Amino acid sequence: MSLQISQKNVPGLLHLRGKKLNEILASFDAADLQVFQYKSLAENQFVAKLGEEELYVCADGSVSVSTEHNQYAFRRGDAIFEVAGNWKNLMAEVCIYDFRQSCPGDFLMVAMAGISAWLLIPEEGKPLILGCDPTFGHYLLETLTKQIETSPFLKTERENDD
Amino acid sequence: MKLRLSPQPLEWIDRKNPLTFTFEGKEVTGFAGDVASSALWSEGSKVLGRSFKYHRRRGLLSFANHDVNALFQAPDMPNVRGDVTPVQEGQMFTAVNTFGSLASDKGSLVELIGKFLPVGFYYRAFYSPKFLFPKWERLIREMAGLGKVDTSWTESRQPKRYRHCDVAIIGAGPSGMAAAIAAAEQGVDVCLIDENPYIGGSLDYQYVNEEALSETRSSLKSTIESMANIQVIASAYVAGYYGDHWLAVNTDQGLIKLSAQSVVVATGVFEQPAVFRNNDLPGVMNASAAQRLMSRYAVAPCKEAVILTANPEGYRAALDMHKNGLVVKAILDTGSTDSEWVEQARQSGIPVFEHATIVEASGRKALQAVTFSVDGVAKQLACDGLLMSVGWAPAGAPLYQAGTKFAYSHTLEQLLPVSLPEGVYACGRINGVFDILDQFKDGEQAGLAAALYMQGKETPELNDYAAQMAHSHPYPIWQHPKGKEFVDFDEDIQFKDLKGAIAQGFDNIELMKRFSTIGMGPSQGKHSNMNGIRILAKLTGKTIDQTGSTTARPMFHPTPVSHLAGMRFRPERLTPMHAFHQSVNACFMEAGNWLRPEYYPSEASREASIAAEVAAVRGSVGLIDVSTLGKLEVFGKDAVELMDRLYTMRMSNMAIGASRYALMVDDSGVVIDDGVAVRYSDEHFYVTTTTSSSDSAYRMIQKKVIEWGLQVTVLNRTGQIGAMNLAGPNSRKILSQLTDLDLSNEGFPYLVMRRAKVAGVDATLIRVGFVGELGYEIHVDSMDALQVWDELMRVGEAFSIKPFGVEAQRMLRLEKGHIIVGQDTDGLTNPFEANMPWSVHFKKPYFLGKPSLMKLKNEQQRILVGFELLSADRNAMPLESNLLIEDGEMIGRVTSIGRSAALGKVIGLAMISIDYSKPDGELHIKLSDGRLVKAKVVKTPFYDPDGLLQKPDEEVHNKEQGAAA
Repeated sequence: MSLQISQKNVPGLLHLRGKKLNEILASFDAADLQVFQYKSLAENQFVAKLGEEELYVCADGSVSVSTEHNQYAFRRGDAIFEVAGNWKNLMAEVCIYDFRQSCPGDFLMVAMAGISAWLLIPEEGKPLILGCDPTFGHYLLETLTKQIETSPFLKTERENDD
Repeated sequence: MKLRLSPQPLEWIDRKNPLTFTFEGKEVTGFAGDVASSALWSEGSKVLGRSFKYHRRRGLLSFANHDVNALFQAPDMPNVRGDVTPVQEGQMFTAVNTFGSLASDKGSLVELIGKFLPVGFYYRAFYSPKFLFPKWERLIREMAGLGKVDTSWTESRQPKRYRHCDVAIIGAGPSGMAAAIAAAEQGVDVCLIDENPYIGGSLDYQYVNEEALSETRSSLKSTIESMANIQVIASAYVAGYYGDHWLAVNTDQGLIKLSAQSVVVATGVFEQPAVFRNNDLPGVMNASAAQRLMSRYAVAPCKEAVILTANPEGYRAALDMHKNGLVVKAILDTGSTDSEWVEQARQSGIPVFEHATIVEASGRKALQAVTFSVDGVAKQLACDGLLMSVGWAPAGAPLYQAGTKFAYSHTLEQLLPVSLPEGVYACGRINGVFDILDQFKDGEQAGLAAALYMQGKETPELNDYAAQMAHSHPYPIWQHPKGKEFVDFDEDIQFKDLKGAIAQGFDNIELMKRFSTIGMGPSQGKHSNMNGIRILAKLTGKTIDQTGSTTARPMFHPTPVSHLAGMRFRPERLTPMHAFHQSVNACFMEAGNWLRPEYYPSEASREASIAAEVAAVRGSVGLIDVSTLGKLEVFGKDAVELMDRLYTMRMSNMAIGASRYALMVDDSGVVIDDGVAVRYSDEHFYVTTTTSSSDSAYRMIQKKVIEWGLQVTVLNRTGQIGAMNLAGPNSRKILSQLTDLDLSNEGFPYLVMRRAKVAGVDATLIRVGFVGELGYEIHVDSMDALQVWDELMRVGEAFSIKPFGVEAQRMLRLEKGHIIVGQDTDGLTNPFEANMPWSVHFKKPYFLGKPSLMKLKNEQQRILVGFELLSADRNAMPLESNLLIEDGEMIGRVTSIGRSAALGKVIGLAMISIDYSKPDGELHIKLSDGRLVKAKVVKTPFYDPDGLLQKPDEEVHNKEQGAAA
């Protein structure tokens, strides 16, 4: 399959910080989620554990936080993309990370083409989901598209498209 | 095709695909897979280029990517390497470094005055008379340099790419291939890198006729192909070896930054030429070059050859020639090699002269004869080819760059690696292993050790497979009374040049290199450094180890600048309101990573548009996108403590819902950032930073949180929150239509924060006065920001609202005398100098920079003051950074300046010596053209000094609305 990138519309992404977030994880049946792992909930929805006191929740419906528990919720408007095809080949153009270390279900935060981005490592053959600060969305899409279209290293991927 | 041989077993050419290209306008035929040099040579064109200095005719020498005398100019590329670059149908080449043509080069006249041009002549000549120097400089520039760059060529940038593996193996010759398989068998990921398009290395050209090895060759190659964990990177070379086993691998497509856990260097050796009179005549070449020419391209090096050798490899080359039906007139053995080889040669009818000494090569345009001496008796043989096999030098750049120590082996007469860094292994001929079967074993053990090392396992003791006989001549240099013994073919360095340099005191290897330029040409000494070291050692009476070698730095091989540059990643940020700005054709400017509207072209000129925006804010209402401000959420048990420590003003006494100016200095008291802090709750603050320092302020705060051990979380929400400033006398009226919030002075006083719905979305509103009017900074989640902006613009239409850009804001804040950190301050400015002593609360027990500021408070020497221009001359407008001069001395500089329509004068801020800061004091500003214009110090704010417009009485406000309506 050829390399393709497309922008995704996702339900609201929430950044949760604070204590006792495991209860929120449990509400998604993800209490056993390890740090830097994510769980797919439904199409385009997931919950990711960034730390003992930090979650990303991308889901329909509401998430209730409690100030009493010192919990804080911040909406994120990240630009989110889906990369189909041999995404590791594309990542090698823009990201220093050794993806041989990553497993399906990993949530990664990496530097990519000079900006920060997060990745949901997919099952083999499935597209990669990546997100970044919304103000860099246009730049990242343009940059990755240009790499796909012009990089001589990705010639094979383009030929697959023909 | 005069010299094309019958098909060779492993040839790289495709005889079914003939092609034609032109060289100096003449058609040349070849086959797909041919390189320019092989195609030309096959047609009998043995002069492939002219030498750098004397413009002597030159042919093939190494045929291994180091033949810098055979460079070609293509219409779109200079210095195409003829010995390695495949030719394409219809390509057009010309020679480089010629004045005329290759056949008739006027540059060769230089040789007539060669004796006046020894190395280093340019260090002593041309200095007198001085007026002639520019002429000499032009001449030298014209004569020197290779190839021509057309500056109209399109800029080219090749992407860079990352790659990771467990074991990297540099060189896919016999030992490299064996190493790759051995490592891969341990289950690790292997990258096998080779400069050639096909793996095989010397196994495919030195042993091409060795029947016994053909099965081994096939097995090695097919095994490598079948192992999924071996990735071959062909047509690529390791240009640099960096810390933690990072390799810069250059490919045709671009640079690969390859990270490995361990590395095996199997780069082999460079064959070294012999040094004797006229050793540069076309037809004189390294024996390995001849073998590559025959095996890869099926081209005969010559018709009648003489072999000069000091090792078995020379005999093998002679037998390869013989097998191809070429005449080998003699083997000149500089010593007495293993009798098995002599026997084989003699059985093939090749005469062998042992203990021979080469005297000279001769020929007018190319080699025609070789003169040598045996037992003091001179002999001459007519021939058109002389193949030299007198020794090897390690292709050791990756090892040297990794930190390997080399030492000279008198057994092999070769430098060998003796101390390798951790995780680095060497094998094959670079290790002194010359027997082919031993090379396989050496490769296997190196590959296995590298795999075990990266797996953290114990590595076995490595066997020493190095040869027990010399494969290099200890001093393959034969002087001739008439000279012309070339040591460096890139730079035309002769034996006498090095001798002269040493005699003048440049008798250290680094000094000799720099004075003589040996090894400084495009081949970087690959065929000259070893002979240079031998000559220096001999003439100074030192050993090779005492003499040392020059430092091997990246790049190992000339690497295109376009590859080094790589693809440009220049992050660009767009605010949530960018679509609006674009829709009204805003003129954008860069502010750090951001694209911000500089102004909106509503009038005929830039200045008029900016003036209209300023007038709108002063007269009715304007809206500016301030999403670029840094935005930090600070929350947690120690949030108050952190805020108090970070900022010069006390934050702990802020009421919930209050806002406060937030000035940050560094440890030395220098102003580094400012913004507005608001308090959401006891343990939750929200603070803005300047556009340019949001990231650096965030990083610094995070560092301090750790350093101070505070329990607080700081989130950088810069990109997640959109912000806009609605400013002007009618701003309240517009906002009131979009929110239920009580906007009265009592309900929402100046410098207070409120959280409410605006246009249906959750917003944080701060009553601020940066531009000096009633104003509301509205912060909303980025996904809602455009909606709020659009609503404000829609409602504001009735009040002739105008969006305003950075330039209008600069003017508006200047009228208020508000500073911009980084423009009105510099890298040394403290708050006292910025004329903001009110912003420093010394009563706090501690804040960042307090100790410095306590000291600096009493040592103030300069201050930021307001000034107005006294000159009415519109053509005498100072610029920011123009100097202020008094009594011929510089007393300060202009930091901000602009023509205020509201005030009807030119106003500005200047950082000046405190001695000149008294109000009404006269100042002189030096314009860029040198003229001085008068100004005077005035108090700030220039506009609305009592700040009444920021806090308008509601009745007054209502009257204004009525007037506007």
